[in-house]
Amino acid sequence: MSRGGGRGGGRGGGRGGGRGGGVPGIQTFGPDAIQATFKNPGETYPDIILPVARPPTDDEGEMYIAMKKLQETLYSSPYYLTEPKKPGAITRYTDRYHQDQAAKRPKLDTIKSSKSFFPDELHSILDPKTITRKRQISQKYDISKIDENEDDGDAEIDPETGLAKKTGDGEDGLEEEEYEDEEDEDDNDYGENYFDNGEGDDDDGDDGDGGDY
Amino acid sequence: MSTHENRLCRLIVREHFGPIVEKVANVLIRKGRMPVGLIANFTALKPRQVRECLLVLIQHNLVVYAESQEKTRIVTYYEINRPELLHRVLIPKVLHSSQDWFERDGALITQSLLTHGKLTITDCVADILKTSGVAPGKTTTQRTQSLNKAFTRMVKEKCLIAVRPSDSLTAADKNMAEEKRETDKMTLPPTAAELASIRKALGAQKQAEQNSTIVGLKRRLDTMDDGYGEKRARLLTDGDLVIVEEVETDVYFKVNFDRFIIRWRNVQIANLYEARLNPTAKAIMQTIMNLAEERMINCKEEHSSPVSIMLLLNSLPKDTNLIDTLEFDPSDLGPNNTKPKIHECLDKYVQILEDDLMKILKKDAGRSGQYVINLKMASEILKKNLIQGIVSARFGAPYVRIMNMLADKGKLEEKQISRFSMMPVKDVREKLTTLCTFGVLNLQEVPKTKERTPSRTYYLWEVILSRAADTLTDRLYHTMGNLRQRRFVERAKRAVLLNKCERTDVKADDSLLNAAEKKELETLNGALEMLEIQELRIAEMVITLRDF
Repeated sequence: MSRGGGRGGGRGGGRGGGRGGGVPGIQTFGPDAIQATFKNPGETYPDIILPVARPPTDDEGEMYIAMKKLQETLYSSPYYLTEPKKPGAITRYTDRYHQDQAAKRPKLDTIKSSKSFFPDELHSILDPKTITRKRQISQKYDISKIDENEDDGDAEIDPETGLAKKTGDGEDGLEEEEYEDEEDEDDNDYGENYFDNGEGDDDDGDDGDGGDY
Repeated sequence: MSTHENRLCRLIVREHFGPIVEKVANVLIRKGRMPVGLIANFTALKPRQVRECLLVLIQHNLVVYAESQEKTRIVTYYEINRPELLHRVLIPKVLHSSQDWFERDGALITQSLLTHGKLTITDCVADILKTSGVAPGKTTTQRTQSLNKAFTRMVKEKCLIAVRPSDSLTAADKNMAEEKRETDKMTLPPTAAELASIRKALGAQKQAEQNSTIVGLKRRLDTMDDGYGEKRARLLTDGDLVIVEEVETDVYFKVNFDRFIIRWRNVQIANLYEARLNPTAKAIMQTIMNLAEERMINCKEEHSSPVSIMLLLNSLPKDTNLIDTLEFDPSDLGPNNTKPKIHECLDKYVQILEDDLMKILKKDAGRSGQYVINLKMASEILKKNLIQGIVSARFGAPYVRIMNMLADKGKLEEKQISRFSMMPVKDVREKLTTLCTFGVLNLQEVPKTKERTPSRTYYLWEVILSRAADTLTDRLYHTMGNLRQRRFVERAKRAVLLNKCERTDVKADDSLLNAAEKKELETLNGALEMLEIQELRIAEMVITLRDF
């Protein structure tokens, strides 16, 4: 639209610093600033004089170069995640010169890190051979122990890390279940349900189908 | 936690880790802690992609997790680590400072650690050798030794800090687990007073741990060949064993942004004295700060550890001229006009620094000959100076006059302000409302009667430094977000050209770009440089207001 174009042109001229037509720009900063007040609100879109930043010093120039180098390193590292390019409908001559950055980057399982920093469900990314075991706590009720002051079904909390201690044996211990990356095979909305719909309440120790979808 | 802060956090993640990680981080930033399933719902990404993003963010210490038991399952919740994320805008300054303090090796180590988030010393050195190679004339062993030496020095000076697996857990959950451990020892549930004393004791314990030995550094006796093919302990000339500190090879380290911020703050405190007194006073102050820096953990401490004047005398730089930069009373110099000794000059300088109106340096009450820095007062002065600078550049001198007067005198009414500042009430009223809208001033209403009628209410204006700092920090986040977004827009406008520059044939042969395209690239680089540098300047202002 011409109105928008005209305004854009006027503003562009104002920003450039050159003034045409003898219209003075409004000073909005510094001691001569004209502040909008209730009685004198001024124009809706005035031409304003923008402050000019001081040029970069040598140190700042070096900082920019160092940051640019780090950006390039991060861009080609396994930590920069992008979708791989899908082949287009039309094959062009210049496609031979374009590289798919996502394919060129190393994979996440090549990074040097320790599994202890990550929760169990992320171990399969670091080490694809890991089969993540879904930790569940069985809720079997042992009548003989009903009088003892014991937390039923609650896992013991490790005081150092604040996490549940993993105990693999005994009736009151954790029950482990084989868990494969099924979500990739069956990509639907029911990946991880919050509520297990009462399926985990069986007294005879049936773990229910809480994880199988 | 404001909109501007959230937008800035999201744009930082986008620039460093790409659009997919940005989606996950955006959800965590805006909606708080949640498990993988919920994140996948909100972002419309596959759960495997969400897990990859979370792995990247945890690796770079930007996300923490907590495992919670819900009925029969253990659910993992992920939460964003905001302070670490906002510190990433300081990366250019961190790289430059590493180069200044630890030379090229330090800069390479910092770059490697910032690329990978956290690494062991062996992995870091291997990464540097792979990317930058070995200079001609040096062997790989020599290069490895010099990198190890630089790494050890950075760990000793706490610019690198050890990362333990418990650091990936949320602080709140860790604190709750520790409290539970203490309260489980008691037979009855704790009262409020007991709980408060437990929390205080745990806080003191954490403080003591931070002040004690550096995690990840081990000591061993230095050995040497005894000429018979066996090793024996190396001894100094006075018979003492030589102890060598080494970094443990299985401990992961990351860049400690807090240490860099402490050093920059110390430099700024010393710079205050250069303008007020002279460069020698600045050098003395800088030396005091360097000596006290070892025991500093973060910028929020109120006082530094004491520094003795004897230690200060021995640690001053060689080129500090104390004698010629001081004027002495001729009657004090004696009949021969002999120049005073160095320690007398230093005493005089310290006396002048102590008597200065800023009241930053003061004598340690318990011990004689020891001085302490009032860090809280120094931080307040730095913040006040910065806010004055911002108001002066934005509005002008009369506004600064009003702000300084209110900062000195406390709460005042319009009429009093107009009388003290010698301006008409109408002008004063306009300026007060402008400054209040900007966020620097606060208005306190004191009603005279039960009905709060405006005509029977006192309106007192005041400057609350912490609130002014918070409001201005939010404005600065807005500006930084704009600058960052502008960089994306500038690149997006030239996406076709940048795509062409990424082609392998263009990378190999520059002449495939015509003159107009080369000029456009130059314009783009110039614009990106200016925007990046402006953002860095504003980031320095933000750390003064937020972290100092």
